[in-house]
Amino acid sequence: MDNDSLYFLSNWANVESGGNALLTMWNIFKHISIHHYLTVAAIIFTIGFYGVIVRRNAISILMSIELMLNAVNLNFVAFNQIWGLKITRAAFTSNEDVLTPVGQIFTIFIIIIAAAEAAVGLAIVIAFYRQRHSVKVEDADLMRW
Amino acid sequence: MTSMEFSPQTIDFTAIMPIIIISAGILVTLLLPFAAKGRAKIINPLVALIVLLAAFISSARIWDLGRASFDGMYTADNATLFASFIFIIVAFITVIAITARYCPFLRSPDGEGLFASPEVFPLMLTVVVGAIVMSASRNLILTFLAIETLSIPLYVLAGMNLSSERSKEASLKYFLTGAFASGFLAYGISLIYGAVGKLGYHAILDACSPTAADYTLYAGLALVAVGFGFKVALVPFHAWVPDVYQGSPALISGFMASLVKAAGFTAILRFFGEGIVPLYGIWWVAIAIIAALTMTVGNLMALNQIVLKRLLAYSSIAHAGYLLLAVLIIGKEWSEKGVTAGAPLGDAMQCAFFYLAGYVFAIIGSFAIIWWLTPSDKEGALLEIDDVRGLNDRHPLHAALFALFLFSLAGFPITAGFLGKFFLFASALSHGFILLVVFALLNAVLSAYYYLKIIVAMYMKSAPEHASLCEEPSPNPWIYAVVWTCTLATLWLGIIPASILGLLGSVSVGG
Amino acid sequence: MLTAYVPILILFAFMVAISLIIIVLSHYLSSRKYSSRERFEEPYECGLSTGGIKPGRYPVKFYLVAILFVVFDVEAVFLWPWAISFQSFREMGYSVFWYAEMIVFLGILLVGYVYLVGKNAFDWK
Repeated sequence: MDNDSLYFLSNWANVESGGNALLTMWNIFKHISIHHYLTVAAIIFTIGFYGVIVRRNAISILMSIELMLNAVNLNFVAFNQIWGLKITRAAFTSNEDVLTPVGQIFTIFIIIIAAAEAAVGLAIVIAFYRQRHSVKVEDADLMRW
Repeated sequence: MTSMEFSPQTIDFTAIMPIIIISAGILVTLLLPFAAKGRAKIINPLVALIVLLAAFISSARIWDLGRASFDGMYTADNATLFASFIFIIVAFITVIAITARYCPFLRSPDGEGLFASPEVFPLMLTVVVGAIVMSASRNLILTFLAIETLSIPLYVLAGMNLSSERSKEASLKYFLTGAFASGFLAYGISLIYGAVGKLGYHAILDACSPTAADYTLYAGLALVAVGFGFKVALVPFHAWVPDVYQGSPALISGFMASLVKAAGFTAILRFFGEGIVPLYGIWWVAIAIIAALTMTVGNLMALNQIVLKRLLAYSSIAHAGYLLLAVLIIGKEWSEKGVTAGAPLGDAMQCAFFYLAGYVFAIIGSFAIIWWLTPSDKEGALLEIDDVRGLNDRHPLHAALFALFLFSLAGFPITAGFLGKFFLFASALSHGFILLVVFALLNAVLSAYYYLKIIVAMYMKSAPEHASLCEEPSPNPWIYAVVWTCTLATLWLGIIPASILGLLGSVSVGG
Repeated sequence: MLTAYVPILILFAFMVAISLIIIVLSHYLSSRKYSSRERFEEPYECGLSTGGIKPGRYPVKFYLVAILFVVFDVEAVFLWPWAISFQSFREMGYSVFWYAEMIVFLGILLVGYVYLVGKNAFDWK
């Protein structure tokens, strides 16, 4: 995709790269390293943690827990960029850019667990709601101390 | 060995046979009620019992063989097998006890059974599968899957008493804290994966070096430890235990307090012993502090409890604190000697397993007694010490057996609890944890107070004026079988420990 | 250094411009039947006249179906790595084994499905 106007813009944007705009943007994306993914994952995990601590609605807590597990997925996929490549290189003794998807398989397990937890959790919340007519966790107060 | 070299040849079907048998049993007990209609109420538990028996036999057949499957990911060494014996026996006991309430012609005349749904059995078998895999797993992702396989059915089982609001509440609380904990566990595992690149315990062992600090790995290990701490209820993460144990049906509470705690500790022992033992110099302080806190907080909180189930819940927290001593001993022993495949487990693992065996029978026996005293279990969550006042006059047998279990939990001689504590503390002492052992002994003395409080109430107080929550115990032969099994086990381990110790002496680390 | 982000800025400008253009165009080009004030109070339903807000309850069956959908949908995820690795297992001569693995997995799912049917989970009444 060679576009003159984009070419002009990219030159204007990024003189030393000298590519077109898409290339420039691609370069930017390439600079998104594993650290960026890990940071995003850490932020998502923290948001989930915060949600579990702060929210009083059981459904919101459930959603926050799902957020935490999704941060884990992001972590696994990001780390797989390093380790998957290493495993491939060790196995094929070549420099192929093929990822061995070990971390991605772990992600699938986490997704399954998250789905099972969500299903069971929603059922429990509904059962609780039917008796107490509330999904607020502070209404789960029959037993204390 | 990379994952590319995996081949089906690494699957050893004899090693995973117990798992396969129980899994098949889950499917059968799930569908059987549709086929057997009315008779399902007796057939379903019968199938569950047969499945457990078959799993027991298939585990016993590979005793001493040290089989491993899936590239060493799943090890059926003797430690695993001994743990699976405990799990299977506990499940066996619980299934029988539930059946007593569940079978129409074995049920006491008070009518509506508490476990109206036949799903109890597949759920319990799933928990057993999770527990066995947990104790056998040598890979963090498998451990995580096993923990979830164990936990998710338990969330449901906790809410199984459909008529009780407390049961629902327990289920909700258990689910929220449990899922929260698995979030931590999973995040920690992902960080360890990032630092090591593999999740096998061997790979982690090789990657752990006390000299070169890898903070990604440390962060991951800390989060995994938090996750484990939630699951076995160590002290900063224990808040859910009393509520959940109080609200759940008494037998399920006993099931959790025994089987789940034992499974959690075998997983912890394996992870700390075979995985991160080179970092012993870093984690031992944390574990020692948590151990001291767990014993103390558990016992102090138990002192003022008046609800029996809650008291036992806090006491089970305290027992987790004692068991952490075993983790420390194993860490110390193996970090000095180094882990070698096929080496005998040493007295640390031996006394940990002995303690677990003694504790498991005493705690499930006590919960079974509570359940026996309140057959409909509507009010079991509220049974107080005052309600068992003068129990000796009304039901001397129940009082005697309950007292025996409480003595075992407190650690009085001729019971399994005494020898368990004795071996554990002696071993810790010989490994130089003097301060911690002094602490544990003080705690044991402290704990005797609240156990004795119940016994005093049963034997020396007169029956309460007001109507007691204790109903007339049902003359149910199945329950007798259960409680007598626990009694015999407690006494047997307490009086003739040599038989079990001999068995444990041959327990070794798998290759 | 900041100049490297100019293309992203341009992308944002495009996005904002296009959405504005679409809104303005639809404002001028669409035919409007109603201009009464109270129409704005009603829920928006893609330009159609609404059937009003339904009071009353959702049947809880929908939750059940949603939950079951999530579970079964997610289990299908396992088919993907299985299918990807089938070729290499066939080359190693384990195609029957690998096929049997999936049959076992699907069999377990099928048991779950039969259980649901037996429990009348799909009986919408």
